[in-house]
Amino acid sequence: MIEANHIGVRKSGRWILRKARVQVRAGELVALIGANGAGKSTLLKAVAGEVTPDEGAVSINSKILADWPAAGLAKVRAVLSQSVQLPFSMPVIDLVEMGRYPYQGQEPGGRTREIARLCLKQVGLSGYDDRDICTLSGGEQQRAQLARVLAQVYREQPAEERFLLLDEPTASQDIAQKQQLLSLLRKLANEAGLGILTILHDLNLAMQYADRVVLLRRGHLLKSGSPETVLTPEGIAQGFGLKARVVRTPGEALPHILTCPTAVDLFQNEETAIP
Amino acid sequence: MIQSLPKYRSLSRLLSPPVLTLLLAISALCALLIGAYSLPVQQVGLVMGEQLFGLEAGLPQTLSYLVWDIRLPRILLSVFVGGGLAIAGAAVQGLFRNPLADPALIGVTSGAMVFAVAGILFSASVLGAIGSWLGYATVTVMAFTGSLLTTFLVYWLASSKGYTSVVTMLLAGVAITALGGALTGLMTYFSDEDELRDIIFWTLGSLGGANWQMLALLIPLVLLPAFILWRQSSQLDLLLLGEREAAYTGVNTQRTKWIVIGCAALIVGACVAVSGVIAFVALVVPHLVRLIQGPRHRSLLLGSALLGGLLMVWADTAARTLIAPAELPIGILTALLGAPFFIWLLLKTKRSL
Amino acid sequence: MNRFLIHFLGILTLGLSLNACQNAPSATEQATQEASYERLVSLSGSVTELLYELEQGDKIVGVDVTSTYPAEQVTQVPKLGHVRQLNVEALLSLQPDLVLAERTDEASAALQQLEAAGVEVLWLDGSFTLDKPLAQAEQIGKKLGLNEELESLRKTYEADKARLQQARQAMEETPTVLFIYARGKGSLMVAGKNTAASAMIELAGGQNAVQSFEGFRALSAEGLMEAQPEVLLLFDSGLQSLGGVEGLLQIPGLAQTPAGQQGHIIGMDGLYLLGFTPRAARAAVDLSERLQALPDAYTLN
Repeated sequence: MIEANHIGVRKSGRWILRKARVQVRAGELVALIGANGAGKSTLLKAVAGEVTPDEGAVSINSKILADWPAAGLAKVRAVLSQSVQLPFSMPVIDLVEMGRYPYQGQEPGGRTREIARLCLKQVGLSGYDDRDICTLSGGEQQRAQLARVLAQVYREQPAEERFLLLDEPTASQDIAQKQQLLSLLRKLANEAGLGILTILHDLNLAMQYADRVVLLRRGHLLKSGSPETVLTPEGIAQGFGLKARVVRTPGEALPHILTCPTAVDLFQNEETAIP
Repeated sequence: MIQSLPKYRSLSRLLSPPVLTLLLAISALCALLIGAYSLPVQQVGLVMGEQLFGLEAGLPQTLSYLVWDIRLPRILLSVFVGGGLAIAGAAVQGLFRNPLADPALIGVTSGAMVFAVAGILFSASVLGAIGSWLGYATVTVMAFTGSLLTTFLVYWLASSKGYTSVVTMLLAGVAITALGGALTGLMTYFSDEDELRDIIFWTLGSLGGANWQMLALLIPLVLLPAFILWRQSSQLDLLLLGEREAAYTGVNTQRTKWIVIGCAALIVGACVAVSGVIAFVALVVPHLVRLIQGPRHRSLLLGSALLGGLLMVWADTAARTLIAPAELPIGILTALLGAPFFIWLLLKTKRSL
Repeated sequence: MNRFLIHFLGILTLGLSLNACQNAPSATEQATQEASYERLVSLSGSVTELLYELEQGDKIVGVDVTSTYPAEQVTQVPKLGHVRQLNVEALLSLQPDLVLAERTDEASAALQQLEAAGVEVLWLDGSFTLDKPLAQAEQIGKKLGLNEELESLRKTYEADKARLQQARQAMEETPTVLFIYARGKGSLMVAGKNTAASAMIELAGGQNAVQSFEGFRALSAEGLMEAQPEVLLLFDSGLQSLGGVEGLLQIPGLAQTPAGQQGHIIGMDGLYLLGFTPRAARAAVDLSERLQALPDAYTLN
């Protein structure tokens, strides 16, 4: 389990995140939402270990982040940043294989390739092995990167809980691909038992796929819980300064969120100072 | 529907490491037979037999000296200098995630130049005791020292609180290179004619000074760091995704940076020290290999080393035979051949840059 | 870099050879001259000239880049580039039995390799004195077994020296002369004490305008005012590189010197003037006469 408690991060003397808290269990999909500048990425980076919090601590599988050896940590959690640019062209399969770095020397090269193919298949890029990564569309590139991080935590007989930390993985996907991607993440959580913490912008996707939603506002944790309890008109108004309706359609289990044209207070997010 | 990547796939197989190794060996053998002094194949063979297997061929001293002490060390030197420069270039390009990076960018060459010029100018006076002890090795030792010192200076400038920024390193490298250029210019301005000549010849590069002692020093200084670089292949691959992604995947990026810069500085420093400034090899060769074999460092570093050595053998053969009995400075030759070729590459692959 | 190259080519064509120190004769040259030498390589302009003077020109199979005189003959001989950048193998391919080089180039790795390859090298000694050509001629003559040729060269040279004596006696005063070594406008050096230029100026009966330092230094306007030269001496090629007399006088400070005001400017061939070749005494006579014939001396010829 990932546990981040009381996380505070300071940047140039100002708190940009304070008293944030998030938990991710194996097999769980947790969506991190909030307006731009709310501290989502900072929290994700703190959990990933890129940013060392000035307050609080993150532990994975009951071990404090600082105590994890780099290679061991890489085997239990993989991180996908928002946009990863490659300076050189290379075949897709090579990119995915690079995710297996932590297992280098521990598995035969043929096995690495098999795993890479498997992961490509999971993100819907079967047969793309030899395609030049630079000739792929933005969405395809993003999925190829996802295949790489999948490969990083792929294990046949997992001995420990494994996690994926994703920063807006649906960026540059079309509407159908967004659904496909989220259902893939759902499947990975359910079947492979991966714990997934992902930043999402689309509130409906969070509503439909997440087990839990963590809503941040101006560096603070506003609400955390099941999608239906967090993504209420009040929650959305507080978190985004946006008027929204939550609509239930007969025959569907989950409600839909409709955002309204009038803003509650469009600029309230500008004040980012935290008491 | 899915187009496959390497248009150069067949070329990729053609230039695979075993084929390149074979080509390199053949080239070295050919180069041993080519020279201003025309020697029949049998005689070259006899000299080699004499030296390697202790045959008694009774050849004249000049002949065996020519083959064994002049041609052979020079060919070996070109293999190691060419290979060394190219592998260092490939690794540095990977580290900086920039196909236009060159070890010269981090100040290695400039530092070597400042110290070499100082060595030429002051070997008799200021350096006195050391200078006379080292003899003509003074300039070589000075250049090597200079390249290492400058690299460490650049590395230190770019580091704070245990983190080294490659971008800062690049900028610091540019600044230090400019400073080095100014210092070199200053010393050149105050040099007398003999010194000026030596400075110019050094800047133009030459493998003419090759001998066995030099090789005995150079080979370990190239091979060992090259091997260490090669062992960093996977880390360099991941660094292509950016430092953050590499770190997420379990790479100790700080350690990798340190190793790559240190090894590249050792290799380039040693090569520049023995041969002067040889342009474009470190830039063009990795670029070419990357086009053919892709950017994975395991094959890129090996391929660059082999192709670099191969090209340098031919470049030096041209340098010592084209305008014989005089000699063409090899740095000029590589720049003359390398620059247009590089431009052609740029035009051809505009997209992938 | 480009400027280096241009300067460098300038120097090559100048054929300047400066010698800095004098060494004791080595064991090689004291060796008996049993072998006959038929294929000679000369690695110095003044030595090449000596070989032609000693009528050994037809034996020369290769020369260095500073060998430019006698122009007609020497252009027929393969050029080996500069002594500091020798292609040892190519030199060996000329199959020389004797290589003649200046002692000052002894540190060259290439020449060391040559000796290791079993080629005999004759190291020629000498600094900037009037007797250097004779001393070197004797070293060569001894090695090659030349007696008559040596004698005739000595006679000619002694005659030139006698003429120099006369020329100097004819001089009424001792003009102060500044030698400017120009490699284009950006690079101007003046000769201090202990330089070939200084030696030649004094041989010709002048006085070096710079007495405050040794060797070459960059020219500065203030230094010029201090030196107050009455005559400016340059290589023809140097003068050309500045755009002739007009160009020279545009250099700050130069027009204000006595030499600049009166147009006392002399241009001479580099190898002839400062090579300390067998024509050294004649060159000194030449310079001496031109110093006396001022102010019309600055017309180039």
